[in-house]
Amino acid sequence: MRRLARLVLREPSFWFFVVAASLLALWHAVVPKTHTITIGPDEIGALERSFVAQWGRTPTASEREALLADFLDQELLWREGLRLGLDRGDPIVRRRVVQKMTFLLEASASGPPPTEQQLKDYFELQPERYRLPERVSFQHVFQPRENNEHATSSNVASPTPTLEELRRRLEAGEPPETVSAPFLRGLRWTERTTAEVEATFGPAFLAALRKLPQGTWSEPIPSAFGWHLVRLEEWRPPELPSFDAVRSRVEQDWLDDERSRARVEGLRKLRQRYRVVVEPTVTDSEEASASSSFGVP
Amino acid sequence: MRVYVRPWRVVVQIVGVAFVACGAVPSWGSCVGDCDSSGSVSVNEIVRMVNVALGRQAVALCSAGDRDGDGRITVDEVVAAVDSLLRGCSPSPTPTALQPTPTATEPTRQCGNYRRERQVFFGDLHVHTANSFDAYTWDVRTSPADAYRFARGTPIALPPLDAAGNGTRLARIDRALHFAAVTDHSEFLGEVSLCSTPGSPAYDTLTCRNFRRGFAESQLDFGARLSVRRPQRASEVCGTDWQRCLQVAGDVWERIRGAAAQAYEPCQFTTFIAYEYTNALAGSTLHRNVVFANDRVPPPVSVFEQSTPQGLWRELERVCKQNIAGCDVIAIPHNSNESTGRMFTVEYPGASSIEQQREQASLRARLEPLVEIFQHKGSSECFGGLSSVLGVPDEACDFEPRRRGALEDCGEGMGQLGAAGRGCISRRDYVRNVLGMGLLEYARLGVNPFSFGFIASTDTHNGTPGRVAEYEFQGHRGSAESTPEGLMGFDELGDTPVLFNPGGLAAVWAEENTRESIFASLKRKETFATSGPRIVVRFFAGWDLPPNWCDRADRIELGYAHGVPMGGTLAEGAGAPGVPAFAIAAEYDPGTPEHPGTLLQRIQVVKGWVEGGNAQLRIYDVAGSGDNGATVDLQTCTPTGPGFTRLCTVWHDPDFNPEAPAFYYVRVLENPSCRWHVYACNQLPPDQRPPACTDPTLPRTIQERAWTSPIWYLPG
Repeated sequence: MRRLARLVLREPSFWFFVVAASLLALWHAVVPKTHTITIGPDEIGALERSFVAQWGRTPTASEREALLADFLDQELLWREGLRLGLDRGDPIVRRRVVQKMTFLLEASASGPPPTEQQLKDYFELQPERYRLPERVSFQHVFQPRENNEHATSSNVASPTPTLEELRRRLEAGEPPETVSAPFLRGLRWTERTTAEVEATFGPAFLAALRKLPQGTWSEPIPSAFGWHLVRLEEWRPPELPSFDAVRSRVEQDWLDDERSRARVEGLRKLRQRYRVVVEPTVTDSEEASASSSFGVP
Repeated sequence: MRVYVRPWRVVVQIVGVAFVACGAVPSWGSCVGDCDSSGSVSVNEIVRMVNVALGRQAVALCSAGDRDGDGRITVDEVVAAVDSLLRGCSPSPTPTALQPTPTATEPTRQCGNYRRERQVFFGDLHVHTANSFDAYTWDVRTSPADAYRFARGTPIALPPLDAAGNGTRLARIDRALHFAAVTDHSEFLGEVSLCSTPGSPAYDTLTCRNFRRGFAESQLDFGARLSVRRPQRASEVCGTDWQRCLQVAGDVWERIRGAAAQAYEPCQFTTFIAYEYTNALAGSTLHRNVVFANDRVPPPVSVFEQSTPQGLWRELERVCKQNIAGCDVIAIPHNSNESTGRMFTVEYPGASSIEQQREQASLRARLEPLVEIFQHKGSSECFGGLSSVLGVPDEACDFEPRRRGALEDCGEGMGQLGAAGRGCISRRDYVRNVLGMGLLEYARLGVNPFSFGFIASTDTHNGTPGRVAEYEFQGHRGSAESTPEGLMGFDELGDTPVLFNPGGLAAVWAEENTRESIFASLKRKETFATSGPRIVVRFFAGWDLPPNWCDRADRIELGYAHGVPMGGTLAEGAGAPGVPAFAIAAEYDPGTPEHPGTLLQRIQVVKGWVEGGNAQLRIYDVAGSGDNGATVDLQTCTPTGPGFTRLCTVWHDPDFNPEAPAFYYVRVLENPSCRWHVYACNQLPPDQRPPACTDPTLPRTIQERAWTSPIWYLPG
């Protein structure tokens, strides 16, 4: 040990460092510290953009100067505040930093992006999550019931056509929109769930719809609104969508799962690096024991 | 050696993180981490950057993450990207146009059932579950996921709870909804969880023990905390820095988000992430439902963080709209009928110039495009018999009032305890008058802070969205309203629940059933409210809508091409001065085979305008008839008499004044039907009926209705 000390004391570079360190210490003691605040094009650009966002125009020269002065004031206060440790114990600062760390944790602990195969496996493991309900597409032509019909000055002009007439016009190729009476809930129903159809037209209508052949205008079907001539276009039974159709949703779900797994795992690892001491603040020993068992594994 | 290198690297990185996180390197203007040049940074992009940093992926995958161009991605660059994620990239100017045109906001098409001419969707944007402090004390245990399932048709069990903690009354919606939002009270999200989780550090505190005893016992430590000027959390539960509650609230909020994400099925059923901001200053209701456009959401703001509505808007604007890329949000005020003049005050705290007032007014208008005009706790449209409102009397205002009896009239002033059914009646409690105040402010500032569109919802505290049927109302407040006495007598606080009602629905005209499309409808106010029934109504105003609009096959296209829909603003007519045409079409709700709907009676237009510096009001019957003789049998609740399945008209305002700013909204009235308490009374043996069943001051019949968002006419 003594030999080592002698060796070190004899070493010229040791003395070089000692002298250098003393000079540096002296420098810091004598010369007041200055720090540099650089305001570059990035900062100026950001200030101007937020001004534009707020006022809808670019700042004038004097406004620009005021913006910079304000930015500088804030930067000075921010830095001095940090030096004094004013950020400590501030719940808002704390929440923001926690938010950033959470993002970092979620990001850093997660693995590489999923492969196509991983996503497909994920999709096939839980098909019910993506199953589409039964859906139906149809068009209809509406004829209101006489007794409840309201006659405005403008719609009494023409006598009400019979349903047979309407059918003839449809079969002659006239578009349903011009044949039908106006119907606010829509004449074309595309890929709507049977629950939606039932909620609007009633269960009897839905039952009749189920018996229709595709592509031809039906006999009149009653509903609580009146009569409907219906042309069924397509029934789609409950089905599992193709992987490609829901790929982006699957990927999002996969990433969400991965992220929450990463957060839990990351927090578990962090927890191992800390010793948590819960000091009972109340004499109630029951509560004290409850505290120590809460949230800390 | 290698063993020592790693810690150094870690230290350097941590120093880097600290350095950057503390802002020693000032903000960067460019968008670090925007790998796909989309103008914003997503979590996926952060993950990609981290993978590059760890050498798992090539830097070419995200060159935007390599800020200094050194061919690597370092930790400080990742932190910079996190910053972009939180704050958004270069903010783009927000246009201040008063009314975006439909074409400008047309969302992208996602669904097979997309309709350019827009279709009607019904939903409920005011739903509480067991996460709400009051619901929990009423033994409600419904989760947000349960609530979304209920909206699509799955039955749930309501309190009272059995020995195993399960509900004992089955509830089922009669017809599925198209969209819903769970809006739990953001206040106490953490407290409710801490107080109901055995073993939590707060579980055995007096506050929590009172909480578990019930609603009345918990009032002092929960409800009452919301009604003071500077609301404080219970430090006994939350710790002196409240961190314990905030932390747990974060977890609950995560679950609320998760439930909305899981239940969202684009094209079939839409959910929104939302909460209720529960400001109850002076015992009055200043509540707002905060609804987000998508899953880019900040943590909930409660009255403990922002004690004024102005603070809420500023915070939402700052955190959501400016700091999170892609985030968008609206706040929907409700129950101004309980606010004793406090919900809609014409005041601009801290504004010293007109310019600053204008800024506050437009912030309000931007964040609060809608008002919930009707719900469980009554109608906020108007108040029957309110004296000194300029205009003709309106008997249809006697509809589900929240308060009744000898109430003090405080003119346009303020009172307190409106939320408890007491306090004074102020002009400002009713939306119709507030729209007039908005026109006056528009004349003064050039900005209308009260340009509301209308929705209705339930405000169920049972987690039962869309449960609006009068014929089997099970209450909306858990065990408190689970018996005839609870439903029709007095509650724990001396309030009278028989004045409540099953609530209403929100309806939107949207291209398709997705978050994008429906949220866009909410923002442009192409919405209407109903008191429950699924009445459907279209409303357009234009200068050259044809007189035969009702019979035209292309009437909807015409409405959009030659006019503005509900929620829009009609500009002064170009060329020759004329009178605008208002095209209105309504269809009744057919109901279900078991419970058929009620026929329509008439359509009314409510017009408000400014003349001689005063807000004026007039109601016009424009289609159908108010004295058609239709009635309802109070024993069987079967309606009799004529009515309409459909009504349509093109109306011209006979008193149109091109100089006067005005608003017009449509009210569609059904024929009379039984009020819910008549159904409930009829189901009880006569000797078991509570006094409310024979109370002559309680109306036995109601006229259910729909209210469209107004169309404004703003000359000049």
